[in-house]
Amino acid sequence: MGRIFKTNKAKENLYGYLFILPVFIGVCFFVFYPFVYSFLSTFKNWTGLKPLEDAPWVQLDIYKKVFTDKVFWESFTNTLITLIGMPVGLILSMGLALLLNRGIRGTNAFRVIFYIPVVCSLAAIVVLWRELMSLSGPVNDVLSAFGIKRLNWLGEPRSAMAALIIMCVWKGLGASTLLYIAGLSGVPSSCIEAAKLDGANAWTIFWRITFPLLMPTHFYMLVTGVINGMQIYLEPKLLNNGGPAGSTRTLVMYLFERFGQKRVSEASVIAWFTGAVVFAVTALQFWWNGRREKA
Amino acid sequence: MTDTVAQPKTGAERIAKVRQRSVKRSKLIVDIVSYVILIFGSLLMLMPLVWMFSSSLKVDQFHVTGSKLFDAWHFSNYATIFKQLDLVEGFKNSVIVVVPSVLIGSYVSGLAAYAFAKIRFKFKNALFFLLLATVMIPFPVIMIPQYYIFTDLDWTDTLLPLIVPKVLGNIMMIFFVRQYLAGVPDSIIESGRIDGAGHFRIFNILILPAIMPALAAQLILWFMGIWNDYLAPYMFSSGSPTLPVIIASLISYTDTKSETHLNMAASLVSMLPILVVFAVFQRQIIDSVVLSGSKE
Repeated sequence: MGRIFKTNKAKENLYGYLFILPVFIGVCFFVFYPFVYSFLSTFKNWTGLKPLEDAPWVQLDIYKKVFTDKVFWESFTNTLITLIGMPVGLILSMGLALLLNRGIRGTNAFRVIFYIPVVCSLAAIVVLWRELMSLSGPVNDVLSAFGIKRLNWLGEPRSAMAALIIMCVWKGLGASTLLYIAGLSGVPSSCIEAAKLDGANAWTIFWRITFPLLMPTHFYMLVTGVINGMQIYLEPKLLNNGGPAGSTRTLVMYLFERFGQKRVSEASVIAWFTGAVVFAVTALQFWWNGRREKA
Repeated sequence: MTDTVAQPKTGAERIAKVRQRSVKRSKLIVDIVSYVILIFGSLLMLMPLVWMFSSSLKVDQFHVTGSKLFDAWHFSNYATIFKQLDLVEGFKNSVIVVVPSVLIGSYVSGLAAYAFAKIRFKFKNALFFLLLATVMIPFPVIMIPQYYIFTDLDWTDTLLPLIVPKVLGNIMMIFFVRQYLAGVPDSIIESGRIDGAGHFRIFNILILPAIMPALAAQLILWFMGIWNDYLAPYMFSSGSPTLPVIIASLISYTDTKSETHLNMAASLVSMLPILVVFAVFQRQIIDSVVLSGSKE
């Protein structure tokens, strides 16, 4: 093919650039430009009401303001607390994936059922969960059937956080289960057969073979979990508007509050703080992938 | 079973037989336990949605709680919500956003993927990595300037902020289709060249059918993502609400006497299109999620 293509190098270049042009137009306008704009706005006192060029430079004042803001650190803590749902979801989905990897009948039906909440829109799911969790709602009905006192789930700080985490785990379980099923398909059955011949029991096989061989999946899920978890916004915003008393207010929610109050530079600093955590975790992933490829 | 036909002669054979039988029995026990857990889990997944359907049929909001499932069948609630809410408008807006976005966006992404996989041009790899690097930028960092871009363009009452960025292509789609194209032999392109076709014709006639499976799988996932998206429509196109924006507007944090039965009906109606898509394409959807997962 080389000979035919080389005859018209200029034309090849032209076609190449032409075909990737649309996506680069999109990235320049909607990613690079906003990226630079957002970065510059952290060093200015920008209200968003007039152009950024007219806003005064304030060096690191906005950073100082944000990092000494109590609510900012509370929101950060809340965001970290929501990450509790991640290991819970991972353990549950790994268990489900193991059960669904045994080749029993109905495997596909179960995969579909667990994936249904994933495809539903979050808005509709939140409308549903607010009712499920209400004082006289079905979740409390079930609890009181077991003799547990009815909880005002969305009215108390701790239980509101728990409700948020439970809803997120419920909605995301099917997706992470599928990724673990994908991971399990990469575990060679010969390894497991060999261990069985050596008389290893299921427990040993899991901890010594399956679990370590799933390491790429664990790692991928942890990294994407932290990346998405740091940016969690819609779930707490819609479920409880960050309440009660800001107990489920996350970083990105606080960002939106500042944005709404026309304190746009502060919002940008919060965004970049969130971004810095995400960048760090992504860098960790690249480092780990690179190490794995070398090994 | 076969014991009566051929008695095991040696002790070793007998032990092997017993062990085989106990393996079989323990497999049966594990199967039963698996089913119990999976069925319990499935109930946890489905019961909220069943409750949602049942509640949508109650006579009023006071009969939603403390009553049995499916003790009333007021389908008229569904007629009421279509009168009270602009669900048709929301549906229309969602369709206007999603259809051109995924169709044009997928074609454009296919073209770019083809260029990155099969055409030789300068700085190709550098440009590809630059593109891929943008995926790492979290949305919160760029969404505020994006908001001002769309405001300056006077687009916020239209659906353009949701369509224009998407018809210009999807980077993850380019990534996956480019990988898929690595498995498409160059001889296909060469045969097109010999017939005197340019890259456009080669892409449309030879490549597009070849990458269709990969493109379609990504397209369905992308469709679901756009259809369910709430943040971008809420932020950038508040003047033309899509379906999720209309549904989210039902949520009230102050009013405790919301009409739960109608809210449930509306939410369920809003989920129907995506549930139908999922029902029809469930195998492709699940396979493409598994596939993209195993690529990581």
